[in-house]
Order: sequence, then C-alpha cells, then structure tokens
Amino acid sequence: MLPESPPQEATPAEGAAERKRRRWLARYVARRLLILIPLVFLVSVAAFTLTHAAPGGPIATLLENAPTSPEQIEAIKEKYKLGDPLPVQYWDWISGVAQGDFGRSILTNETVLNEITSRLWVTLSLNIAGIALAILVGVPLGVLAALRRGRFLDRALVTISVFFMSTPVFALGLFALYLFGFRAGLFPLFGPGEGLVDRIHHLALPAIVLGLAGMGFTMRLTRAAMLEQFDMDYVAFARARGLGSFHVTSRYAFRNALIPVTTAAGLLFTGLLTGSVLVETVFGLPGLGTLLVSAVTGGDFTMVQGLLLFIAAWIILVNIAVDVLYVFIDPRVEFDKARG
Amino acid sequence: MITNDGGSRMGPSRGSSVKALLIAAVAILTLLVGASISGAATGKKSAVDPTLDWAIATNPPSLFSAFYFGTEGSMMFSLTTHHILQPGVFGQPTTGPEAAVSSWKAVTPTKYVYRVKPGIRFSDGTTLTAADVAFSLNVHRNKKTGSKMFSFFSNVRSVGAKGNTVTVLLFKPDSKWQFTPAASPALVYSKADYAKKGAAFGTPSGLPVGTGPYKWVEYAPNSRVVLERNTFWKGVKYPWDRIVFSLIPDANARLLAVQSGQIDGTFAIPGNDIPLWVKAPNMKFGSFNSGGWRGFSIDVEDGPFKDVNVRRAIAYSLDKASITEGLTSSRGQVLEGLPPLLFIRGLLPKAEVDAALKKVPTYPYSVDKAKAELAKSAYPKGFSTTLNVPNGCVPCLLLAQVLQQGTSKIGINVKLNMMPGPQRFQVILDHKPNLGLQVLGQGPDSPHPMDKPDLLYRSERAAPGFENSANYKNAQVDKWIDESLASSDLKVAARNALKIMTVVNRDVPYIPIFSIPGAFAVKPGWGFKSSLGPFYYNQMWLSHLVAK
Repeated sequence: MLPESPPQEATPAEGAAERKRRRWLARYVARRLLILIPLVFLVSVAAFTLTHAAPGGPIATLLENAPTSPEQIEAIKEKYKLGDPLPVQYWDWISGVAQGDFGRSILTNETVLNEITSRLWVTLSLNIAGIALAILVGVPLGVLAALRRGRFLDRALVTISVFFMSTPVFALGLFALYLFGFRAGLFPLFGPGEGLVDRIHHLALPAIVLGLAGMGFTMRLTRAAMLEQFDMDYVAFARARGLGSFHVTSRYAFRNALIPVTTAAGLLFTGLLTGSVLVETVFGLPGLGTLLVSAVTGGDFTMVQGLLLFIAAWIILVNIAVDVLYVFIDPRVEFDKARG
Repeated sequence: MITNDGGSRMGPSRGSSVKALLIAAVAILTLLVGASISGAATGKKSAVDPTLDWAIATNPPSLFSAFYFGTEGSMMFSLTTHHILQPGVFGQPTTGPEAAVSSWKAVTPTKYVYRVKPGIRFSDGTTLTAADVAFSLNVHRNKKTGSKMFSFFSNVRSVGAKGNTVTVLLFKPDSKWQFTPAASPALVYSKADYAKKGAAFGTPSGLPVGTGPYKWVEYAPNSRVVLERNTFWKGVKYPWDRIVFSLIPDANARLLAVQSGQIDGTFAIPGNDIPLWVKAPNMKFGSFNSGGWRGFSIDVEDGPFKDVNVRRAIAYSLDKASITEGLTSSRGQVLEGLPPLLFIRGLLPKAEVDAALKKVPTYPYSVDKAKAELAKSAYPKGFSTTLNVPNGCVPCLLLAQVLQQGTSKIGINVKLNMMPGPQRFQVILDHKPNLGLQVLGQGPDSPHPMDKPDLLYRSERAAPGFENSANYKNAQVDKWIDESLASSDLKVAARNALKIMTVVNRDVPYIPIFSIPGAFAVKPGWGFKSSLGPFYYNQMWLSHLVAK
C-alpha cells in the first residue's frame, strides 16, 4: 500500500487484470445466486415440515374462545386440506410458490404475498434507518474510542456501548416511549402514521431505538478492529515516515478495519430483523415482525412458511451483498477466493 | 513519536479529526430527531375532534365475522351491521332500533320465524332483504366457510327466506337458540356483496358493506381499522364522523396512549394490570361484570384426580377471596359455582336463589380441611402433577402460580408447563395426552343459564373435539340440561342450573375462582351513561359513551 504514487494510466497488463477481476466477480455473484435456489428449497422443506410437526396448529387457533365440536374440526380440516398426506400438501404449496402463489393466510384469508408486501416498507424502513444510525454513529464513535484507548472518553464510550448492547430492545423501546413519547411529547406513541412526513415522525423513535441497539455492537467491533490495526507494523511504518495521524487513521487503519465492520453490518441487517419484532410490538407497528409473531402464535402455517422463505432469502441476499462488498473493500479477498 | 499502544498518543492534528467525527455523529442524531419533531403534531387531540380514537389489543384477523370471533371484533361489528335481534343489557333478544327484524316468534319449539324490517339499507345503497339474512346465517352454517360460529348452528336444520320472513328450523328444541340472533355478532351480510368479493371478503381488498351507523373505510391488519358514517343509516346519529380502532398490542404503550390523550379510550385492559390502570392519572377507569369466569378443570378420569377427596382437597387449598382481590384488584367476584349467578338472579326471586345456594357445597379456604380431605384419599402424602399454562395469558400464569403455592402446602407438587396458547387448547380438544389440571378462562356466549353447563358438564362433550376438559359425566346433570333446553321457560333453566351447581360442586370437576371483570379507560371527563353489561360489545356501546 505504501508509498503513495501519483495516478498513472493503466498498463495493458493492468487492464487485463481488471477485466479478469470483473469477470470473476460476475461469475462469483452468479454462482452465489444459483446457490440461492437449493438453499431456498431446503428452507422450504424445513419450514413446511417444522410448521406441520409443531403441536397446536391452526385448528386450535381458529377455534380458541369459541364453542367447538368434532364436526367443526372436520370442516376446518377439509377446508385447509389438513387431512391430505404431508408430501401432497407440500407439493400443493411449493408448486403454488413456484408460480408466485404463496397461498392465503389461515387467520386473515388474505394472500400471503399481499400480507408480506404491505408490511415490508415498515420493517425495511426501520432496519435501514436503524442500520444507518448504527453505522453512522457507531463507527465514528468506535474509531474515537480506539484513538483514545484507555482514557476517560474510551471508557465512557465502551460503557455506553455495553449499555445499549445489554439492554433488551423492548425495554429500551418502552423507556424511550415513556421519555420521548409520553413525557416530552416529541413522538407519537403508536402506529405507522399517514403520509411521508407523518410516517417519518412515527418511525423515527422506533428506528432510533433499533439503531441504538445496533450502535453498541458496531461501536465495540469498530473499536476492536481499529485497535488491531493500530498494532500492525504498517501503521508504525507509516507513522515513522511522518504521515499525519488523520491520514494514517482514515486511509490505512480504518480501511483495513472495514472488513469486520462490513461483516457486522451484514449481521445487523439480519439481527435487527429479530429486534424489529419487539420494537414493532412496543410501538404498534404493522411490520413483518408483528406479522411473524401473530402467524406463529396463531398457528397460521401458510403465513409462517411464506415468511420463513422470505426471511431466508433476505439473509442469503444480505450475505451475498456483504461478500461482494469485501471484494471492493479489500482486493486481496478476490485472489484468496480465486485460489481457493 | 511512535508508540506501540495503537496510536493513543496522537499529535495535534488528531484532535481536530476527533472533533470532526464527534460533530458528525451529533449532527446525524440531531438530524434524525429534528426531522421527527418537524413532522406532524404528536397527536394530542382538540376538544371537538369528530374522530373517536379507540385502542384495541389484538390484531383484527379479518372483517368477516366468521374469522373474527371475540369481544373486540364484536365491538366493531356492532357499529357496522345490524344484529338480527338487538341484545339488551344482559343479552336478551329485543326488536329495538338496532335489530334487523321487527318481530320474531317461536312458532313451535323447533321453528322460529323472523320478520325483516323494511327500508334498512347497506352502505352501498342496496336494501337489506330476508334473503340476505337467511344467506348470512347459511354462510356460517356452511362447512366450507370454516366459520368460528359454526357450533352455534349445529342444531339448525335449515334457514330459508320467503318474502320478508326468515324461517329457522331446528333439529330439536333448544331454548338457547333464541339468544343466538342477538348474542352473535355480524349475522347480517349482503348476499350480492359476498358473491362479488369472493375469497377477498373481509380482507383489506374486500371490505364488507354493512347496515350499521358506520361503514368500513380502511382495514390495515396489524395496525388499524377505520370507520366512517354510513350515509344510509336512518337511526340515531352519534357525535363522531370517524372512528379509528388502533392496534396497540403492548399494554404499557396502550396505557401511555390513553394518558397522553392520543387515544380516547379502550376496553383492552388486562385483568392483572387493573391496579396500575386504576391509579394512573389523566384518565378515567371503570369496571363492570363481564360474565366471564376463571378457574380450573380437573380431569375426573386421570390418575389421582379420579379421587373426589383429592379434588376437594385442591378446592380447599385455594384462598379464592385473596386470589380475587390480588388478581382483579377486587373488581372481580368470588365464584362458588357455574354458571355465574348474574345469569340466574334476574330470572328467579332472590329468596329462592338464596335458599337454593344454601344447599350448594362450598370449599372455604382451609389448609387443615384440605389436608384432612387429602388424608381420606388414596394419596394422603400428596403427589406430583403437571399443569399446562398458555404462555400468552398472564392471568392464567398468575392463577396457576397461586394454585401451585396453595397445593404445595398439602403435599401436592404442581409443575407448571408453559405452552403456546393454541398448543394448550389442542390438548383440551384432543383430550390427550392427559388433561389433569387445566387453567381456564371463558366469557359468556349467551345469557342462557345453561350456556356453561351445556358446554362444560354434558357427558357427550367429555370427548375429543369438545370442551368438557374435566371429562365429567353425570346422567342426572345431562337430564337437567336437556330439560332446560327443551323448555322455553327460562325459569326452568335457572332452577335446574342451581340444582346442577349443587351436584357439580359435590363432585368438583371444576373449580371456578372469580368472575372476570370487564374494564374501560377513557379520557378525563368521559364515561359511560349506564353500567356496561356482559354483552356490551354486542350492543351499540357508543350510545352509552359520554364525551366532553
């Protein structure tokens, strides 16, 4: 990486290497996307088997709180084809999924696809805003803590990060709701709002809560990664050459510390999905989290299957995106993989 | 100077970069908060708001009553559709202004005829006909619909319409039927509308048309339901142009929403949270008798519970008065038997009820008596057992813990087995692997004195698919239930209910603990004109609401 040299025209050999790199990247992404198919298939089998093997199921859910009779139970079994052998039920479902028909929710009678897409924006908005907050605040504070290692500021920041990491997100949500929503009256207490501005207003507090939970994690990870880089010989060498500390921190140490931070961002994108279940419940938001909770507790197996497929695809795609980002952040990743 | 501490001693330029990073972080937070604050107002309502904001606790799964059976659903359906018969305070059938029929008659014990009022219009302008009413009843009877109310129609042979009359034929006499058209919500749909919307009926893309004072205008599952005035409604006009039912699943958030004024009121107050709501400032709390009950069933065919002395020992070990005080903040009432006396006292003279109650065995809290009963059993030293607890039900858990504590004093070790609600209910439906002790909580389906005895005590219901989770069988009790249902005189049912209570309390297949209190919270200065009854959700509850 050192020393820096002025920009030069790419040589033919460098041009060929770049073309090779792009081809490799395209092949790599295509290969990962192809792996998506068997993975989603496996998830579909697992989701179907588990939802049908779980005790309880839709009959008890549909009839809970209502007087029951064996005749009524038979009627429900017939309606939802629960009497068919499992492989037949699976085939009916997966062939529908292949054609874009995920079935209808047992609880609401609405199509699973409609239910998911109508709530996607809430969860996506929360997650994107939460991750943005976690990264845009967590990373600089992590760098700051590393720069001030062992000093008061470092200790204070580490304490803050531990606080946010160890506080359950629902408790943080209730606390924020009470303090900023109820006491200060700055934010609405429930619901997703109407219109763009109102929606931003409604989602801001839950997004901040979600983001703070992720921020602690990002801050800790960035601090650790930066400290590791500061201990490397190349940093010492750069300083010995008289390069400014900002230059060394931002151009060298920070860039190399980005790999674990990017991994953390990927984990956040999947982890916050779990956190959003609790945040959505506390703030009364109609997102995928509350949908999943109501589907699981309600034994709505068609919805659970659809959501599991969706979440699996989400996680796989995020992982692919993270892997691709590695290549851009650190060109060595490509060659390691190519050799592998 | 180069150090080996990872750069903790940076030069002067480091300070400026640190400041820049700090400023950037603060700026982002400020931006987020600032953007939020600059948005709409936080929702505090003006004094003359034509919108009523009401909080609900559970997600409305559908706007089709076949799939939305519960008090919160009924509360909305009562505003959007007529009942076939208008329920009175205790659920008694009347032909008041909110009834779809002008008269009804039991021509024979198995034949009921209803005359549909002329001029009732759906929110799409079409007129309600007898064919619509008959169709609506048949939709719930149809197995293919999968209606939650299917069981209410299991004794119905046919429903037909001719002119403006609807005729319902029963297989056998059943005096409970007279309450069904009043106690069941949303039994009036438009046949044409149902056909037009098909599978989407009751979903966000297929909002049903109704005949009530309000019509559905928005249904956002997991979020809210919005109603607006039905311009074709000819009855009393209520002060609100718009009613928004907002879903706030978390009880603490719901409490804050009412206190802050962002919500005008709610009925969704968890029983175990009542002490908190009673003391909360900036709102008005009220409670009433919901007619529901909480307690336990004991499988009389399962292991140690076969022994009646064991069951009596458990009954003696429970301090009902303290439990009721602790779990309902004294808003519930101690129950010594089922059905709740609320459904008997209105039918018989007080002296007669009181005299009959003197014969009903009771089990006042006494550890000594509990030990003595257990000593008489085949398990004098006690035993261990498991109690399934639905994990989403906090009052059930508290009640289970109280039982665990009470029975431990006499040597019965109860292990709590937390299960998802539907999974636990499946155990009851399957009657396996073993029912043992079950913690129960039920609301009334009808004011008929045989409502709960028929559901819980009948011998034929001690089988898979039914809810007699005590597996209780008693030929004499069956006879009294049959006699009560066959008679159109509710006094017969009330007297038999007291006789049944005497026999059942002797056998102890169930231990009712307390009546579940209904509760509401509204803005300061608001309230309900008259006390709400057990079927408030089936009535035009808005007509009782007083808002400043």
